[in-house]
Amino acid sequence: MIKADEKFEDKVRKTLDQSLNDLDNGTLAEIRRLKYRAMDVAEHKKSRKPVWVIAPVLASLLFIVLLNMPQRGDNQFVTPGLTELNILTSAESLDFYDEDIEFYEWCSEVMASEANMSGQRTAVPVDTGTKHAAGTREGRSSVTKLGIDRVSRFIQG
Amino acid sequence: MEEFFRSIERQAFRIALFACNNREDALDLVQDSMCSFISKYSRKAESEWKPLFYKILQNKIRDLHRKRSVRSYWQVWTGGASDEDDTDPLERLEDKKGLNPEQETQNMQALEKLQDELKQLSLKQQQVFLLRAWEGLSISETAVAMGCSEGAIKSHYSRATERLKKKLGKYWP
Repeated sequence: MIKADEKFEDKVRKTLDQSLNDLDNGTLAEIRRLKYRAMDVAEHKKSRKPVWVIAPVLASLLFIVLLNMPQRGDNQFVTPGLTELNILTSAESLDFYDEDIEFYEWCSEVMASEANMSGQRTAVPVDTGTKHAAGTREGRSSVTKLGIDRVSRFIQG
Repeated sequence: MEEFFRSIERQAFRIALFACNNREDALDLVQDSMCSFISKYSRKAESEWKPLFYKILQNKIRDLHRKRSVRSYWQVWTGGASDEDDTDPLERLEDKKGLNPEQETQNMQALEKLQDELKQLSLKQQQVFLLRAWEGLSISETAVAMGCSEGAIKSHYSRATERLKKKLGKYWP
């Protein structure tokens, strides 16, 4: 019985194999063509990175960029230099600056130019001589006040 | 990979053709199966390739049959004609073997009869028989390919063999 089964299966196999040899050239060429096409398509799909690989990379890059982006705005704190702190915390009266306002203006200009050279943010010196005539008491006190305001702004940033 | 495809491409086409009776559909099934196989299973061990490839092909065949039943359902309602290719695939075969006419006729008759009887089997019996008897897959490999238990494979195969033997016995003494 088993031998008969084997004989039968063998006959079936041979007949089916025969049918493969009888495939026409057009079909065989078509099979060959679609095989290479399938391999090309699969290769093309493989070379594309899947979304689940790209998305985390992009998110990480964005995070790094945002983290390193220089912050701009009014809340930026500019550390005052030691000299300005000394002026403010000194026990001398602010009238002291009334006497030598030109000197402090010159100091301010020098500091501003130094800060510009070093790329730090700083205040621009105020042109104190344009609004009031130099030499008058009112003009000098106004200039003094402007200078003090300017130094305060500079310190506060 | 190319070597593997070369070893199975014609059988795969024939098996697909037995299942769907349409040359273009059979070619599409084989191509889709190859694409899916490369993307899903190309990293598997080569010894597993054959059952896994036929597993994909069987899934595609089942999908095609489902689509056809839906299409035929709508064609019944809309009154459209079936576009299924009813022509016998054997009619497209051409003589290039140089066999003598008597042998050629015997082979053709045997194949024609076998094909007729294979068509009479249920799709599962037909595919299990082809995978086991022709492709030489083991019971466990056929179970993987068909997505059935090994017991079901044995049952399908035994029924298919019995039926074919009964019908073809007189043609193949």
